[in-house]
Amino acid sequence: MIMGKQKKMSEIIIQIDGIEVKAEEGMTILEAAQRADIFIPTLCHHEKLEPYGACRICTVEAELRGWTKLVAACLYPVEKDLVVRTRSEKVDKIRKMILEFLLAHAPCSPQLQDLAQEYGADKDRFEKESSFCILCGLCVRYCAEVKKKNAVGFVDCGARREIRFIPEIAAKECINCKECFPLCPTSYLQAAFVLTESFYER
Amino acid sequence: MTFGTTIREIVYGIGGGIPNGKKLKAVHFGGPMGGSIPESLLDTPLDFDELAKLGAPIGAGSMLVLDEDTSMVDVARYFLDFLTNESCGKCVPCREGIRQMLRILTNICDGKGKEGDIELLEEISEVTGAASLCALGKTAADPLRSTLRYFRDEYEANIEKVKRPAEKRE
Repeated sequence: MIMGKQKKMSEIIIQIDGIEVKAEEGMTILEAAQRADIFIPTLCHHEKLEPYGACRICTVEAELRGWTKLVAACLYPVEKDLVVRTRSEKVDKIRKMILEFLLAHAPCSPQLQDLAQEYGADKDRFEKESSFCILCGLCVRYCAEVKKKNAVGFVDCGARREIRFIPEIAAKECINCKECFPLCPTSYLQAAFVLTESFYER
Repeated sequence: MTFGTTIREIVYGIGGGIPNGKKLKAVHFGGPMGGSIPESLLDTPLDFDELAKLGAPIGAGSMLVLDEDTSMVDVARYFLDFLTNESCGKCVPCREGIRQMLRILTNICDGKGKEGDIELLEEISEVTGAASLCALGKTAADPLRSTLRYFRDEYEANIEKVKRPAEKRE
């Protein structure tokens, strides 16, 4: 009874694309939008994982008390009187360029291609550097947060950042799991694993 | 340093001017995420607001005096080269934005600049500044922006130099 009452008290009404949406305190903009069937694109988000805020493709305009900010919908908590715009000239421009950045690495990713069409992103705008990995971290975080194995991790920083399987852990844990494979938006992960596997068997 | 002292006084008075009789080209404030002001603005007082307005926030308080031999395109390239190693690489706008801006600037410095490079740099810097996760990405392009603001002709001249021999061949 008390729980129910508290829940009702923490209900927040926000506006997304002109539509009034009921949200609860502690929710992110993305969660509120998904509940109202309003689509915000994501690449590094997964419902089983902690919000990460790395791909920035979910950037939206958030207006509060007359101030407008560009925020990551997967991280930004809802607040009373928040007005969200999921599409605007600024938002679309950011999403277009993020896609162009990523398409230089993984030009054949279906997920990226679909979004590229929506936002008019040119896959050839930036010189190809086919690393095939867009560093969304879904594999790394799934392995750490859900499986608690840390068989795959990030190495190095900045433009040199990449994912790598830890051979000692991967040899024991990955053969019977591979649950991260379908999460990968570019299928680079499988290639990285096969390479690690062959290296380890040698 | 007393606030309100002009930059000219600091450089020529306290600092003793430019060595070897060279002319001053710019003064850069705030390190790799700061900005430069040209010689013409040297009478600006040392002041947070005044310098921030000029796109050269005091930041950590460092002041870099550049003489006439310095290429301002190379200054922007140098700072981004530093920042690409400082970026953690987590978010796309910072990691990839710095990568692409650095590539374009390196091309211009190497005499491989193309028409449209300046506009592309401006577009990338805008996205990186607006969409990055933390302040490193948000301010990484500030030196680039300030050099484009005051030394755009240098960028244009560098790209023009590349273009001219090609036109001659026609």
